[in-house]
Formats: sequence, C-alpha cells, structure tokens
Amino acid sequence: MYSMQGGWRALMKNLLLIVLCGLISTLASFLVINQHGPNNSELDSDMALIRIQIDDANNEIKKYKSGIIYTEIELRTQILKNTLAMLESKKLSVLRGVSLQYQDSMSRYPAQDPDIERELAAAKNDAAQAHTEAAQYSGGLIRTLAIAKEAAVKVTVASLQQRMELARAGIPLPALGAKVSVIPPPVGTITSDKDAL
Amino acid sequence: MLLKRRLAIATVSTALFRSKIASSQSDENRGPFGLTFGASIELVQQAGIHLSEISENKSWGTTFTATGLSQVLSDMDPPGISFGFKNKLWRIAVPSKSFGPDPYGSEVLTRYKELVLSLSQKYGHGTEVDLRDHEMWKKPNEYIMSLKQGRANRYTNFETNNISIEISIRAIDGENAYYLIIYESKSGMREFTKDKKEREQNAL
Repeated sequence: MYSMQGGWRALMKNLLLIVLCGLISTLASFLVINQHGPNNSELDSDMALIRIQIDDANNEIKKYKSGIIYTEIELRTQILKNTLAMLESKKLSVLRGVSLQYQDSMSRYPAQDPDIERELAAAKNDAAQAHTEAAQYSGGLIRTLAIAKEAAVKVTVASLQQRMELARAGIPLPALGAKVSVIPPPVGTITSDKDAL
Repeated sequence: MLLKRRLAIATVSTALFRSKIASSQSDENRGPFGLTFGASIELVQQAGIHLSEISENKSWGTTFTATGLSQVLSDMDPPGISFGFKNKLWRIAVPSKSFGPDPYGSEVLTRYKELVLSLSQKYGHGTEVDLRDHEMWKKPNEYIMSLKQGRANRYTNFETNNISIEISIRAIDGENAYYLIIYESKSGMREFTKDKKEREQNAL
C-alpha cells in the first residue's frame, strides 16, 4: 500500500515537472517572439487609424477621374494599404507565435526618431495650410494648385507615417538612398602561393 | 602451380602499369587552384565551384568566372575559366586585385617577383621579358604609365610538357596595376584552335 502511494506521488511529481517545463518554454518563446514591437492592442489602434485614413482617401478620390490629384491620392492609398498589410502580418505573427525574419540588407529605423517626428509634424502642418488655402477659393487655378499641393504633401505624410509605424513594429524598410552592400562570394580557400599555383 | 604464379604476377604488374598511367594522366591534367584541365562544366560544378558565365566574351569559347575554389592566392580576383567549344577546361586567367595608387609600381613588382619565384619552383625556370621605356615614360614614377601606354612590358613565360603559363604586370591607369597569370593546356589549346578554325570556315 505504502509503495503504491509512493509510486503515485512520484508520478504526480514528474507530471507536475513536465507541465511546469512546458509552461516555462511557452512563456520563453512568447517573450522571444514579442521582445520587439508593440503589443496587440497597440497594433489594433494603429491599424484602426490607418483604416480611417484609407476611407478618407477613398472618399476623396471619388471626386476625381484622372489627373495629378487623382494620382497623388491613389499613391497615398497604396502606401496606407501597404502599411496596413505589414501591420496585419505583424499582428498575425504575434497571435500565432511566428517570429518574422527580415533580410539584413534592409535598414531598421529606430523606433523613436525625433527627426522623423519633426518632419511628420511639418508635413501635416503643410497639408493643413494647403487645405485652408484651397478652402478660401470656390474654384480656379489657385484652388486646384492648393489641392494638388495638399494631395502631394499627404503622400509625404503617409510615407513618413509608414516609416514610423513599421519602425515601432520592428519591421525593416529598404532605406531610400542607402547603399546596399553586396558582399561578393569568396574566391576560395586561401593557401600558400606554391599550393595554389 | 608455376602457371598460376605467372598469371598472378602478370595481373599485378598490369594493375600497377594501369594505375601508373592513370596517375600520370591525372598529373598531366592537374591545373592550378584545385582545377583540372579537360574537366567539363558539370564536373567543375559538382566539385562545389560556383560558375557565372561571362557571356560578352567568347574569345576562348564558353568562359565563366569561378568562385569557391579549393586553393587560391590571397590577393587574386575570381579567375576566368574557359571551356572552349567542346566543354573541356583548357584556359585559366587569373587577375589580381588592384595594387595602388603607386605610380612606381613597387608593390605590384614585389608581388610579381614572389610569384615568379613560386612558379619557377613548381614549373621550372621561366623566360623573363623586361622592356623599359627610355624615351617618353622613363622616370621611375612613370613606370606604371609606361606599362599602360604599351611602351614597357614585364612578363615571364613558363613551359612544361602540358601547360604554358604567363605571368605579367598590367596597368589599369597611370598609378594602379595588377598581375595577370594565364594557364593554358597545350592539348586544349590545340583542340580549341582547330575548333575555332572550323567554325570560322563554316561561318564564311
């Protein structure tokens, strides 16, 4: 009887140990995967904001059939959709515990970049000014130019926003103008001159 | 019994003779950098060597740059290896990295002399040509320029029964130079020249 109880206890102890190990490894892998980037709720709020901007752009584009303003809005929409798609894949990777790997030739911008934040604020200010300017006129060339300027600046806003969002999510982007170093394959194993010749 | 013994001796001596022939043939075909003359493109690739075709130059038949070689010089660039028209490796041309800026060419000359010595130890004494410009580019600090202009030449030729080797100094501009070593299999060169002539005749 005593030995049966002892065996039962040992079995329970082993089971508890296995469950504990499992829990620790799950927690560790979760921490490794999510060590960079925002959490789920932050991603949700960022994506909601981008969806609103896409809706705005979609409503705006309906006023035009072609031309430079149409193209600028279309470009902005594509940038926003691209940002959204990348954040969605980030969210899915977090949910499913998949660690996303990116090529090293791409640049990772810092999550907090005061220069970009300043640039973004300035671009938003320019867009607002162009919007106010356009609102002063009911039509004509000056209004069209102001709207075109607003549309162009909004593309800059969307691009800078994309860079910030992806930097916060730990997703690298090809840096514009940055030199991508291509390492040539090694010629071979270096030996003495006599052996090689 | 005697017959059996004679048969055994004959078998052993035939095997020895065959292995000797095989080894001498492989010695004949042994090229530099772990390459083998006469090898096909597929065989070279199977040895783990990465080939990239140089499509713009067909002067030596199908030519590739090779990387991932088993034995290389510390300062060489990927060699250009040519397979002629019949998929047989016959020519290996190895340029070095650039030496310079050095209009005197001291560094490239020192390296050239080192390599000439190593080649002499391996392939026998070579024949050196050292032509200098005594009129236009005659100052010591104009040596690389004189090479560039073709008014000076520096090369050494080595000949064995199977291979011709030439090592030379070439100028990129007035102050940068490199060495170039060219290995040619003699039988491969004969075959390539014949194929080339036939092709030219057919084309005309």
